[in-house]
Amino acid sequence: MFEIKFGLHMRVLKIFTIIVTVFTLLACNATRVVKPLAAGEKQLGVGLGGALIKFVGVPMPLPLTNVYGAYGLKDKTTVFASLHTTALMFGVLQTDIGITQQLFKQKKFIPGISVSPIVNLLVDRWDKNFSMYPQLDVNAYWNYGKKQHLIYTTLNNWYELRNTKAHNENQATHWLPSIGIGHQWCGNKLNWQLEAKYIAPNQSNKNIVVDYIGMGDNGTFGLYFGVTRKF
Amino acid sequence: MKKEITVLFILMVGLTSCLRLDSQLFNSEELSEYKFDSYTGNRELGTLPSIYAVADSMRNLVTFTSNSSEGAAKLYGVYLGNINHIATDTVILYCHGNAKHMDNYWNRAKLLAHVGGKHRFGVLMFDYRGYGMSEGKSSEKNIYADAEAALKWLQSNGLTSSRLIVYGYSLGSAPSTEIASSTYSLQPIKLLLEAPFASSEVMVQDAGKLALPGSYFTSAKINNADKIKQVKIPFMWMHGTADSFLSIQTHGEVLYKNYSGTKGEAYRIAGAEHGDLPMVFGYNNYINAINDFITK
Repeated sequence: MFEIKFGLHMRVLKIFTIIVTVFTLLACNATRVVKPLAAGEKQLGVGLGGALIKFVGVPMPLPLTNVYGAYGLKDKTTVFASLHTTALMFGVLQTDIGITQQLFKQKKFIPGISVSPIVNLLVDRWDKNFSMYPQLDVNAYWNYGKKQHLIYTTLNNWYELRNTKAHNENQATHWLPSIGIGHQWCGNKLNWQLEAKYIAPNQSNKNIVVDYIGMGDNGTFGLYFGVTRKF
Repeated sequence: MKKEITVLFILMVGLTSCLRLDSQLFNSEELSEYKFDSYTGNRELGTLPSIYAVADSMRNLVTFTSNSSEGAAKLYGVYLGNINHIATDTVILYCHGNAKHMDNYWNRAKLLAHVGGKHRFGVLMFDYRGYGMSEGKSSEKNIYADAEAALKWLQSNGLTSSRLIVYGYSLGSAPSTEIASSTYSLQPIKLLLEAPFASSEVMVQDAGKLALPGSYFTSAKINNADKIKQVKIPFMWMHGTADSFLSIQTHGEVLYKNYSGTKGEAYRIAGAEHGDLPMVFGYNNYINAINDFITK
């Protein structure tokens, strides 16, 4: 959770910083596919949420949107691709394309385990600047109940491959993890997803244009909602 | 499924719009009247000791016109000193920061009016477009045009380049560095920057932790860290080590490192935040350091 600085200088870059935070502090969406679909099964989803901010004193998740589709290649393997619609509104085409592979099937209380190698691609329409961020998600999940609701934990890892940043300064950060816990409620037609994350706990949230409120001086919280439908 | 894919495609094309965050870069506040000492809102440095008072007779509200490709706008400025002496005085052009308007920075202008003794130097502070009573809309292009308009006003009152000092604070580091690195109506002989930012890209990267291009968020190309390479005049840099808004490491140090002119002076003020450097430095120390830089 972070709070935009609202002091004399600190109100500067209000929405600017929010959007920057949203786009760049990774984890701009809930985990796409935790448990692979059945072979041939299709899924469409929409996502909403982001880092928590204090807006007029009230904590709320940023209303960032994305849409995605997934397809079960095999019973243990699902591919997916997304479009970040809020980024698109600002002229940035952002997508994450990945594959979720089940490593271990759930055995009662022993969770199923899946991994998702993902590539995040961004390009803007203004200067045509292109960025690529590899990502590796590791998920543990438990199905329960008649409707096979799903509870899960996830470890998302973003990787920055660049060695330099603006003005040829050293890009010291190459690994940005986030840890999350989520739940999927399975309905007759739609599934509902809620996920909370703690983003970049290894990063200081001090001395930047945004006041992040994390645990101590590190990281920030995020909250995400999703709706999916299988076909 | 085809229908859903069609909807997705329409979204993709339809939502690729021209929204930009540029207007969010500027944190101006309109005023119907300047209050200066009578201003009751929160402002920089709070209540200044009375020894830094400026007589009303030495506070001159002035107006001039700024012209840019985005149109003309009437700007307001305040000149601390005797306007009739501009033809012979050394003048500090003060480019203020991003918050509100001149009333917010009035204390800072008064401190500069005491550098080297009361009214030893004239001080011109002005509001960029959209700030205070100044007309128009702020943009990167316009703040440069607005600074040029201030220079032309000084020039029309007799100032020459040999007696011009430029001081930029925070956002004001952008027009100040621009003036010092490019060709304008007047060319300063010395440049002072307090709590400057390196570039809009550094802001983006500091907030996001990734080396993302600034173009993802803004069209602003403000890049003081590159422009400072062209500055050859003496340069004084002040930055608080506790600046939680513009980090001294990622902004100030980068900018200072890129300066390759004849004389650079750095003041890293221990414990100073973004907005309280003169106070933490000590008002007298602050004033004396500036005076030494200007006069030596």
